Order: sequence, then C-alpha cells, then structure tokens
Amino acid sequence: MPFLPSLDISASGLTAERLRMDLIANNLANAYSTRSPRGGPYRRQVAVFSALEPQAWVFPAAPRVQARPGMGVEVAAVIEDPSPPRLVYDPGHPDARPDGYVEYPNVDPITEMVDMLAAERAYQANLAAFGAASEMARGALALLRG
Amino acid sequence: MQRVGLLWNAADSSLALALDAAALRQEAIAHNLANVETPRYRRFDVVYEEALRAQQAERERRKVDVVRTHPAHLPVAGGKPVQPVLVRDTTSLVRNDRSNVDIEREMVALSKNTLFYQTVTTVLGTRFAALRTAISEGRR
Repeated sequence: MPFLPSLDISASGLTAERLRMDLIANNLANAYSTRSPRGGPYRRQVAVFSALEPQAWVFPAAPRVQARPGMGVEVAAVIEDPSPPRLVYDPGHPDARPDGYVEYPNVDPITEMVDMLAAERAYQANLAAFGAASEMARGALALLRG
Repeated sequence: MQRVGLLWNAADSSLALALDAAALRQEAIAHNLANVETPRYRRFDVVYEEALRAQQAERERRKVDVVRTHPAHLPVAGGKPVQPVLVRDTTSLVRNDRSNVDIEREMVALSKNTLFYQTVTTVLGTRFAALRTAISEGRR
C-alpha cells in the first residue's frame, strides 16, 4: 500500500506553511526597521507557493490524466513586496529624508496577522492529513500482523 | 489480482482494490491540503464508489450473475473490476485567490476516507482470521 507519498505530500505542506510563518514573523519583527543592508527600509517578504505536479496539464479539456495527483507544494520563491514604503513625517528621526519624511517598511501588521491565521489553519489541516495517513498505515500493519 | 481460489476470492480482490482507492484518495486529499494556499490550484478527486455503484446497478439490471471459473472463458461484460480514477475538479466554485480548495470539504473527505479505510481493513482482517481459524481447526 503506497502510504509514503501521502506522508511526504503532507510534510511538504507543513514545511511550506512553516516557512510562510517564519516570513510573517520576520515581517512583523521588522515592521519599524528603517535600515536594511541594501539601504532604505526593510521590505515585506512574501512566499510564492507552487503545486508540485507532473507537467501534464496542457490540455484542460481532458481531466483524467495520470495516476498520481502530485507531490504536494513547494515554495518557488521568496519575493519582496514591491509596494511603496509607508511615509511618516518625523524630521527628528536620524533616517529622515531632507523633506522630513521617514520611509517605514511596507508591512501592515493587520495583513500579517490575517496571513498568520491562514498559515496556522493550513498547517493544522496538513497535520491532520499526516495523522490520518499514519493511522491508515498502522491499520494496514495491524492487518499484516493478524 | 485476478486469481481466484480457496484462499483469495473475488470479494478479497475488490477489498484490495478498495484499499488502493482509499490510499489514492488519501494522496489526493493530502495534495489538496498542501496546496490550500497555492493560487490558481485546482483540487483533485478520486472517483471509485460511484463507478462501483454503477457497475452494481448494471448487474442488477442484467439479473444474471456469471462467474468465470477458467481463464479461457469469454469475459462477462461489466465483470471487470472497477478501478479508482483520479480526476481534476475544474467545476467547483473558485475562491478569491482562484484556487478551489475548500478546507472544510477536504477535512470531511479526510475523515470519511479514514473511516472507509478502517472499515475495509477490519473486514479483510476478519476474513484472514476466519481462514486462520479454519487452518488451525484442521490441524487438531
């Protein structure tokens, strides 16, 4: 009984959601970082998820294709949110521009919190799938033991 | 698994196929849940019980139950074991991120599949236990 693919698929989901959670934590921690190694304020980082599937989906008209769904999910890239920095008027700040505005990171704590809830929920769902698969594998083992 | 004999009959074959279907469905659900946050992802589904029911209905309609006891016999229409089929669901409603994974629906499918698998393994276990009893009784 092929159970290991199913466990690996759930594990890929857990890994991806964990990475997303790390990025959210990093975004929140740097919500007020006005300096970064590359100069300018910190920029919000986002994970790009991509389904790990055989490239057989060129013909959407034929839904019945291969025997296996795929190998789960992968984080294809971590990109920087291109939206502009948040401007706050604070001439006394050491990183203030000549016009008195300070460029703060484009991190919105509320967006991050919502993303965090979604990531947590998805993590738990993958964990439940993992638990169900190992329970099934144990059932098959018990059958062999008799 | 087309061999039919004393220790392995047609019912066992269908049970084994049902286990395969449940394992494949588990993979599909795991894949859907892993991609719950992937934009534009379309969910997978496994069609098995529906096909099985259709075959059953077809047999009922014919009212004759023919059994092949020799490989040289002509095959009986509708007697082929139903194979689980993986399908991609492109019809259901799409969310904001253009994926169509519904987390509640997947979780329900997950517990249903686990229960289904447990039922089949229990039935198979009972079959094996009966065989074991028959064998050990004969030894006395």
